[in-house]
Amino acid sequence: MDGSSSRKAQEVNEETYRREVDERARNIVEHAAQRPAFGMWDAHAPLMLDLHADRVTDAIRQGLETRTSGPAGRRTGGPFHILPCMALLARWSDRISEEGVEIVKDFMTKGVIDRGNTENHWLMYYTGNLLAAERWPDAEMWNGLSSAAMRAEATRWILGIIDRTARCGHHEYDSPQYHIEHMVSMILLADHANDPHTRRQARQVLDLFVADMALEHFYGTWAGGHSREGYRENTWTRTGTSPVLHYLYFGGEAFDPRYHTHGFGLIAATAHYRPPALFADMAWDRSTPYVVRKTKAPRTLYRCVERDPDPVRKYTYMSRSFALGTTQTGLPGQYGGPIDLVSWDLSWRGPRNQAKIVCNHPYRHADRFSAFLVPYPQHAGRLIATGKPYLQWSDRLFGASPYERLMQHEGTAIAAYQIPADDETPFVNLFLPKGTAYVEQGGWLMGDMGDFYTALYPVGPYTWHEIREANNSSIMVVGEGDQIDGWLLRIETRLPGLILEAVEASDVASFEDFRVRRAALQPDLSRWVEAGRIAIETIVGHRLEMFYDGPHRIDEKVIDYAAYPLYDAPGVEAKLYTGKMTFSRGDEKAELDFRVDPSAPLLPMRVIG
Amino acid sequence: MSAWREEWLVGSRGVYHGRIGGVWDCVGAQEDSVSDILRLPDRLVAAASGGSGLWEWRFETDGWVQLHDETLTEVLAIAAIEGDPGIVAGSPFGVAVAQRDQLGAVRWTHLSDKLHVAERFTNAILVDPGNPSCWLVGTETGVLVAHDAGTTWERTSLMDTPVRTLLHAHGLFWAGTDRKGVWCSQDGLRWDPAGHTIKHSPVYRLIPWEDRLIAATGDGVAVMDGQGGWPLTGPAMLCSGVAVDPWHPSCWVSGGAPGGLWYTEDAGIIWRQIPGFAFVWTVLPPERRRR
Repeated sequence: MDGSSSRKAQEVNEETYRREVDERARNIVEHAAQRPAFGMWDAHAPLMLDLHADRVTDAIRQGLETRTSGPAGRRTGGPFHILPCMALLARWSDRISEEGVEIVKDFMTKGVIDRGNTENHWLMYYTGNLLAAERWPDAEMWNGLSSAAMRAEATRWILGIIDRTARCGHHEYDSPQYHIEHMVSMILLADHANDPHTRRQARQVLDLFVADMALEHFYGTWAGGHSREGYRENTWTRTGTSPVLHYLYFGGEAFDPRYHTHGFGLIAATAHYRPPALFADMAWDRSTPYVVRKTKAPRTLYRCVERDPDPVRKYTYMSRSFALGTTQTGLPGQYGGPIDLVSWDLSWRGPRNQAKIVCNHPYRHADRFSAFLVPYPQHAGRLIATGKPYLQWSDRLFGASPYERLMQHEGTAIAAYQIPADDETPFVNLFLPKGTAYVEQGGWLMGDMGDFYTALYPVGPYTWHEIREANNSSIMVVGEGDQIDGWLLRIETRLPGLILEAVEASDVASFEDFRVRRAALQPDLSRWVEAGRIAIETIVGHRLEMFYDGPHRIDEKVIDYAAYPLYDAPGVEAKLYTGKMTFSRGDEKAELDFRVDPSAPLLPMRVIG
Repeated sequence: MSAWREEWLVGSRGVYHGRIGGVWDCVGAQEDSVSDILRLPDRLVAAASGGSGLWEWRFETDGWVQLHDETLTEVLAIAAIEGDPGIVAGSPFGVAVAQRDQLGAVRWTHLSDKLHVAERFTNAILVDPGNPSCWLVGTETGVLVAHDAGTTWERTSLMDTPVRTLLHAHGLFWAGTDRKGVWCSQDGLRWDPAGHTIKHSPVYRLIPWEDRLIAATGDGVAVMDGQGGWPLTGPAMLCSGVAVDPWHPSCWVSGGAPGGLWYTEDAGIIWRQIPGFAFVWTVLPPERRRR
């Protein structure tokens, strides 16, 4: 195929793809418009369909009705108010009533506004403030600054954060919970910012965010490690708000209102922005297993740690029937433990709580919170967990532990822990779905998942429990836990671990063949206690050797995590610190160039994520 | 505005002013978690954690104006220095100074980026009264001295413990720590132990009182008494702020985080709670006698 016909094919594909996205967007919008009531986030649905314009003013009034205390109370809110109200004005400026505009202006120029403390908070905050400062260029803003000063501050932060992302990786990376906040903020900037450079950079980082999803897209959801997948959802197949984005941009499955109608997604559905078509093709290509390597920005930790964190390195094996992902979290020793981080899991297709295997050390030292939050260490453990008690539960299945070490080669992974004697939770929780009938042989627990097989070797003595948790933790769980429901294997030792291998059913003769071959290869734990070494041979003959605080070797070769590029996957080229990425598939290509200055200092990261 | 000079100031969820037995009002509408307050001749400056940054209220105006930028957040300690905005600010990310840009906005420069991670985490800043370009900085790892307005940094003999508060009183520097009680120093570099509470409590604030010091500690309020283990007074709470009425030295106000606002009028024998506060991080006494 010559160049011109290749380009033409790509154009046709883009046109078709865009039409398909628009159709899916319409499914989302039409379903949302049927709701009896709506707020500022989902008011985009009736506006898109030209319905209930009168009720949009009510939505704005109610959305911004909270006032500070006292008789002269002022409208008050935070990032989750700023972004949706400015999104309505930016997207539907000709359809918002004068009263609605005045309410938003009152909020943005006279209100009391909170900036929050996470990356998604600040992005929504600065996006909304930038759009407001551009809309009312002569106004004094809510914080006493001129709109010009507010615009300059917001622009510096937004462009700075894009620059950081392009050079050393997304900070609040790959979060099924919060990626959508990043997406919709950048969508508003790409579609509505006045400054062409800001629009261009926002559009490019949007493509990058969609590429992040596409590379680890697994049947409508996001595989691999995540910076933030909390809220006790990481045993679910579809977690957080990202499924609406997976559906919108990648399609491939029927519209399901249970997963595809989150209100935050309506900004994306009704936007002008659409990503390149090839990402959808990449997302659904399960023809050949492949490995994705990613580098992400270091976690923000500022005390109770020995040094600054290292960059995060992810490794995800995308097979036909399962995805296995692990993370080198870069955490700097004791007390470093971001609350929502999910470092690894094995995912496959199936209902909630029936298609995930994950284990976690439920680290809960009070100084864990102090490492990245400012309350006094003497109170932080109680204070933070007062609002979210499950953050301190001993059955917790998510949240980083500084004592975890992971390594992986394709479908095989090792998780190892060295828990100090004074730790409150000297064990690891291993979650297994109940829907699989396991076979125990020689210390291995093996499962036939239909399309693939798994083998798990808990390192250390374990006890088999059930875990059932309700969304409302104050009620008694009757029947299935609507939040978590499965087996909980508690591996109770100071030196627990887990070895896992997953193999496609088509790659072995039968489950029996897999079981026999796997059971015949016992892990080498002879130097685990003495030297922190675990070794295992996969059933196809690769040898993984892991030293707890030393090298990780595959077939005798040391893994050089520092050599990970920004992205590495079939058809992807993206070196660190260059700000340039190429995503190719067949004749299609998406090239991004953020035009970074590698010698310029990075915007300092002053938020958590 | 004059009321703020004649009344107590409290850093809670917002800055509050009031007097014992009277009404306590919020200054403006901001409800951020206020970790430190400066009362300067022409303005109030409030440091806020929770991502909220730094704010000032000039007495001739009628509202809080933002003093932070996109690099300054979680401000835990502030001190007055020369210039405009005339503040050195400490946060978990280090010590920073600022100047205004052509738009009038305040732009911050961080001075401690090259320090070890926990050395950057700043809980307290004290400008040396004898040398305004020399700052003592209480960090998560001890006391550091920033010479020449933060151009060079020097570690001191008081290390290996978080330092939550610094004070210059009775001709000495004083430091309150998490694990080592209170320390004192002639020059800010060489420190000697100066005692602790009977519970070896963390010390969050030190203030002068007569020829002694009062400490806000993790177990209530303590009066420093020689070198020994000082008894504790008042409610057993994480007391993060305490102040003494300059005209009634037996009248103290303390703040718990959590625990709320308390006062005593008999130097700590009886403490009474002032309703309406849950978390109080800092307390300033009246600056001038009530007319």
